[in-house]
Parts: sequence; C-alpha cells; structure tokens
Amino acid sequence: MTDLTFLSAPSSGFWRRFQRHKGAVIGGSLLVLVLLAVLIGPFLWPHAAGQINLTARNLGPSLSHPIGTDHLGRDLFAAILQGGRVTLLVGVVAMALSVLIGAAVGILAGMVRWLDAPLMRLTDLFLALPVLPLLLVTIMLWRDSLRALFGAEAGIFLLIVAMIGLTSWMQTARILRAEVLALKKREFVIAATALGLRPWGLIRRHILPNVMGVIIVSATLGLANAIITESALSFLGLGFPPDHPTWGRLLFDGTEYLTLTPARAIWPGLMITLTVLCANYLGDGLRDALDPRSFNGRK
Amino acid sequence: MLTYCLRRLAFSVPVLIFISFAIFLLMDMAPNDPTANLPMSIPAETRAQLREALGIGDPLLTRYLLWCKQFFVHEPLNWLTDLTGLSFGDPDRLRVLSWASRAPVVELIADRLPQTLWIVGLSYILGIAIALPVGIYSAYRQHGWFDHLGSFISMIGYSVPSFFLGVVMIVIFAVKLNWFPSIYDTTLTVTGWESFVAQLRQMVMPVTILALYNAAQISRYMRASMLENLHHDYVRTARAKGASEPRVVMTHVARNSLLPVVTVIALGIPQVLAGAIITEQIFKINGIGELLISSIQSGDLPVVQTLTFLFAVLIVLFNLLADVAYGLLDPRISYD
Repeated sequence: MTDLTFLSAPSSGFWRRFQRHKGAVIGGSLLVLVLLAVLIGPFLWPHAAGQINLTARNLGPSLSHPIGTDHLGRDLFAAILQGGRVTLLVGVVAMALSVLIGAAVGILAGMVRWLDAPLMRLTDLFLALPVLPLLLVTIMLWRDSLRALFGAEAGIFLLIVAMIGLTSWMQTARILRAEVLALKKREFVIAATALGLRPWGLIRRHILPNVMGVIIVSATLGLANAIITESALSFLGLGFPPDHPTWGRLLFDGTEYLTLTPARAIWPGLMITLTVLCANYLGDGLRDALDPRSFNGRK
Repeated sequence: MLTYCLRRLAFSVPVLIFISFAIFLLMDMAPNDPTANLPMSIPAETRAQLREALGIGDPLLTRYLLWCKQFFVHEPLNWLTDLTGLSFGDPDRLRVLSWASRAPVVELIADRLPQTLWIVGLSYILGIAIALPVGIYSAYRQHGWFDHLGSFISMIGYSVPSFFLGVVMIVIFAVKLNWFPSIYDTTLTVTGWESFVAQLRQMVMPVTILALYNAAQISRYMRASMLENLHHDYVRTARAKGASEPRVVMTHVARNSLLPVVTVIALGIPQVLAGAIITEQIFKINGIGELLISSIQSGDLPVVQTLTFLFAVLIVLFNLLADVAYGLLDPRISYD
C-alpha cells in the first residue's frame, strides 16, 4: 500500500525526492521549454508556417531558415512551431479525456461495490481491443462525415482526441481502483465514514486528494502515449490533413524527400521523440517521488 | 487447472462475440456505400439490386449473424478442405470476399502473413535474447554504469517512435552509407547464397527497429522483477549455504524472476504484430499491416473487418495463454 501523505504536507520530502531524480528534472524543464516555444514561438518567428516562397526551395540550414525549407520554400522551423501546437493540443486534450474516464471508472469501481465487477469486465473488454487497427478503421470511416459537421480541422481533431481518449483509459482505471480499494481500508477513511460523511464528500475530501499523485503520473505517461499515437496516425496518412500538419504529418511528408532534404523528416521526429522522452522521464520521476517505497532504492 | 482453463476459455467467448459485434457495428454505422466506387453509368435499378445482393437492406442482426456464419463456419471449413483435400458440406458456400480484388479475404491474408511473421518473429526472439541478459545484469549491478546505460537505452527504445527510428536508419544506412536497401523486396526468393545475403540485408533494418522496441520493454520488466526477487530470504539462504554467485543469480533469482516476464512476453505478441503495421509501412513490406492500410485507403471493408477481428482474436488468445502459462510455471498459484 502506498503512502501518499505529501499532499497534506506539501513541503515534505516530495520535492526533495523529485529533485534527486535528475532525468525527471531535466525532462520536466525541457517539456516546459517546448510548451513555451510552441505557444509563443509562432508570434515571434518572422516566417509564417504556410508561407510559400518558390525562390527559396529545399534550402539547407541558414540563419534565416535554421533548419531549411521544403519543396515549396516554406520555412520548416515555423512549420514545426505551428505543428507542435496541434500535436501538443491533441496530446493534452486526449490525455485529459483518458484520465477523466479512467479516474471516473477506477474510483466508481473502487467505491461502489456492485459496480466493481461490471466496470472491471468492461475494462478487460477494452484491453482486448486491437487499438491501432481500430483507430485506423474509425478514422477512415468517420473522417468525412465529421469533417462535414465540424469543419476540416475541428472534425479530425475531435475524432482523433475522442478515439485516443476512449482507447487509453484502462490502465488508469485499474491503478486507481486498486488505490481506492486500499484507501478504503485506512483508518481515516473508516473514521470519516463513521462520522457520517456521504460517499460524494468522502471522494472529494479524502479519496481524490490521496489518489491525485497516481492521477498525475498517469496523466504524464498518458501525454506521451497520446502524442505517439497521434503521430503514428498522421504518419500512416490517417491523421491531420497536410494543410494543418502536426509533427507526425511533417515527418510523413518528409519521408518522400529523404535523399534530398533529410532534415524535413529528422526535425519533426526529433521533436516528437524529445517531447515523449521528457514526458516519460517526468512520469518516472514523479512516480518515484510519490512512492516512498522507491525512496531507498533509486538515485 | 483444467477447470480454470475451461472457465477462462468460456469467458473469452463472450468477449470475442462482443468485439466482433462492436467491429461489425462500427463498420455498419459508418457513412459508407460499397457501390459508390462503381461506374456512374450503372442504372439506379441495377445499383439497388447490387445493394440488395450485398444484403444492405437486411436488418442489422441478420447481417451480423450472416457475417458470423461466413466467418466462423464457412471459412474454417474451406480451410479444412484445402488442408485435407476432403470436402465438407456444400462446396459453393459464401466466402468473405475482398471488394477490391474479389479474392477470398482468407487467401489474401494467408498470402501476406509469412512476411509479417518472419519479421515480427525474428525481432521478438532477438528482442528477448537481448532483454533478458540486460535485465538480469542491470538489476544485479543496480546503479552501476551498465544499469544506467541500459536504463537510458531502454528509455530511448521506449520513447523513440518506430516510425522516426525507421526514418533515421534509412537516412543513415540506406541513403548515406548505402549498406542496406530502404525498400523491402518481397518478390525475392532465397535460392542460393547471394539471394540469402540479399534477404538478410533487407531484413536487418526492420528487424532491428522492432527488436530494439521489444528489448526496451521486456528488459524493464526483467530488471524490475529481478530487483524484487534479489532481496528475498531465499537468496540469502542460497548464498549462506555457499552457492556460487552465478548459480545464485542464474538458477535461483533469474528463474523466479522470469515468471512474470513470461506473461509480459506472451501479452506483448499481439501488440508487436499491431506495431508491425507501422514498420511495414516504413519499409514497404507487403505483410498484413500493409494489407490493412491499403484496404483502409481503398475502403475495402471485408478485409479491414477480418483483419481487425483477427487482431482481437490474437489479443484474447495470448491473454489466455499468458494466464495459463503463469499457472503452469508457478506452482504457488492454484486456480482451483
């Protein structure tokens, strides 16, 4: 059973333990840096993302185009900044949806006894779904109708976010259920119940604050997972349309020009890798910092 | 044990029925007209007849049950017929046909499966062969330089998406160094030494990518499992009675640590097969992943449906195998 008392006393060992995990600190800072660059960058950078300039086609890196241009003379750095916005937005929203569903299912299964078995069977069912083929099929079948309903970008965004969220909540649900079941046996929860706290109040006052750490860890790892899934979909040509390129799409477009301008494929790929690596390291560090058992073991 | 297996098997039947129904429903509800790609010159009447022949007007449940009959009764029977040469029942039974190539879907898949199995199988075996020693040694020397390096590399293998690693490898080894071909030539048949070397060369990159990913995942589990076991009392006992260090680590700790890892290995197989979809796309290998993508792009629903369901069957099957294997390998667990 994990002991998550840090939230009641925020100044306790959590930060110290987190700071000891160097990978997590570096990962976290880099992740913030990427976020800032993507958010602020497009306003500061002189070139617009889609601007075609036929006199500057397939350029190598230079001062005005630090990572070169593509076959239409569009600045790649601007495209990466702009694409990062979409990629990270998809990642964050899909992760939020997945964590929300996972937390709801996990806490419900842990709190309500008669819901436990059906919800866990449902989780097992979802775990048996072939996720990648199913994602591809759904996007193929529903892309056009959603595009007609919500417009080209919003339609595909909603579809991808919904599908990633709906197919990735199972681990969170399982972990949270186990945490809630363990918490329910603790004295303070029993005391709160004995004092007449209603179930909803119990969840809000005692359960949620104590499982927040677990939720944050799964959110971080879920972000990495969502970004990889979205990039894979875009790479397979079933993600965002080429006029709103995400990093995955830029990589996919770049693979056609590997002999001419390999930078077109390398940079978006590097950005995906960097973000995912940072999120994974951050998740690892948070987990170690939140789990006192690993205190003696890890660096 | 037997009752447990039977119970597990019985539980997987409703799971499969549910998944097949979900897949069927998903395809069915989608706004998609199988006659849309036919020439415009076909009169509306004929088009209606075509749609009727495809059974589009029938109630949902009828169509689902018909599909199930084709899939679960006709296809296995056909397969048996091909295998044994004996004929079972009506030889002209309806088959699941591809809309694009008009060939039976099962034959299409059987055509593509060997390439996928070769690549995936080789990479999985290679991945396990790398992961186990790495996991064992890095847990044994926890916090040593090997452990740090191993953790870093496995984190990279875990985080670098295969589509990016594939592209990087193509840029380095195919474009710059020209060591390996970037496109997998599936028409190549191994007839002699030279074609064998060519086959090996084109397999190097896809197999390496998948193997690295597998090794990264499995070595993490192996290391964690070893770390959990290394501090048990029986290890101290083994050392106290004077067993040599390799014997303690290999026969006692590693053997016990392998138990959960075997489950992870079994559970990973369907995922690796699904992951091969991307690798096949990078190197243009015509395996089942490529079949799935090309069918998706041409809207060939029967193929897509069958393949998706096949992946689901694999997942359920390997879940079952993992559970049974765990029970068989670990005498402490009794299911009855």
